[in-house]
Amino acid sequence: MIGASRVKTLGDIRTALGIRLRSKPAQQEDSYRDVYLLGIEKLRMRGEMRRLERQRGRVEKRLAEIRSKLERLAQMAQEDAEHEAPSHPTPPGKPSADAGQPDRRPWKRMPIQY
Amino acid sequence: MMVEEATTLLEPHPLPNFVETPFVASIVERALTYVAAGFPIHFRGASGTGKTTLALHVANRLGRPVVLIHGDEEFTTSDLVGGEHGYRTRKVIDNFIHSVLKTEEDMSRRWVDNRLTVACKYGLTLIYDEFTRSRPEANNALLAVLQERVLDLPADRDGEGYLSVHPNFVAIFTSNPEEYAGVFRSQDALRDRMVTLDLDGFDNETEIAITQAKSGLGRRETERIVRLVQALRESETCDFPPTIRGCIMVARTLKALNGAASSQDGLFRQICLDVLGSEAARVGSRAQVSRVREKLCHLLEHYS
Repeated sequence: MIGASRVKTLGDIRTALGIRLRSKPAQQEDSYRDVYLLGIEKLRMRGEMRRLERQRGRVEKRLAEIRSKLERLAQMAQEDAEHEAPSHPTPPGKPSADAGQPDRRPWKRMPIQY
Repeated sequence: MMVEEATTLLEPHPLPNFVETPFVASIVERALTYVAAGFPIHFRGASGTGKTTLALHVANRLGRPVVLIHGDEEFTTSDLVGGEHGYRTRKVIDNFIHSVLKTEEDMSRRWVDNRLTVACKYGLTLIYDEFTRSRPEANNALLAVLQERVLDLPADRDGEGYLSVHPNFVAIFTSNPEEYAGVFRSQDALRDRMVTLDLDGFDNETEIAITQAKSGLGRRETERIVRLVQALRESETCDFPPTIRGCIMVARTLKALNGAASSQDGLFRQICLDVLGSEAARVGSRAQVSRVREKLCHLLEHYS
């Protein structure tokens, strides 16, 4: 050990941490604690896995919805574009191509007789 | 603002006893020709000349769903175009973490597109029955719709404020002549935008065929009734000349009671006096009522 007068830095001071001295020797009981903690961790991870699988299912379902909605909207946009530029007027007495289907809304229809 | 729409559409179908004589077919074909040329059509004629039925028949031939509006003095632009009808409120209470309470609340006005807007938007057939019963200013929105093919929407409604009219949109109007009671004069600008077909009543063959089809009476008896009504109409004794409805009422009642269209039949005479006498005379004018009844008795002797 060097004398206090010869200490140049804090690293020259010997401490329990510096010499890796454990206050308590390693015991067999630590292994039991680690087994317990790892068991808990394993359960948590399994729960996490289940949650991710559920989330994956939800995402896939939503993706399918988005895909079908996109297809429907693209079809509607195409039909609207066709309506805006009709090449021929509807001849008298003949229903137009989309007659009876003004759009895809859920119309209430009521027959009227004359 | 939320935008909703009136969503009930009509599908006109002819009754099994609908009569289409060459006279009716000719009017319908003319109307369809004008529609194909891109013009709105207007059936104008006195009561009982078949304006509404013809409008429905033309709409049926066009094959598109129909929205029907009946003109009324109380009508305003919002009854055609749409307006604000109530509010929609939304409240979210988020207490996912028990110690944190988060609330969100908002309220939006609810706009409902009315029938003219829906028809213009989706290219439906609009039948505006008795449109001159509405005040002229209520019909102003139609001017741009029929000419510029644009519907001017209020700024309150979400969107661009203008709606481009669908190419399949067709408007069919009906009205009584302007000298009729309970009607307003239509704007010259509106009348100028449509092709008006004047209906002066049916020809003899059509009147007989319709009366027969609607009553189920035999041909000869129907002819007698129609001749009697036509003679009363032409006698110029009546305040309101009897229409084909009078023929149908007399014929149907006679059929129901198994009577005969003969002046000797007391039941027939009574039906004619009740139906035609009251229909043709102004209420309250006793002198006129007795004049019409006298004329009717005289005609009964000659025509049945």
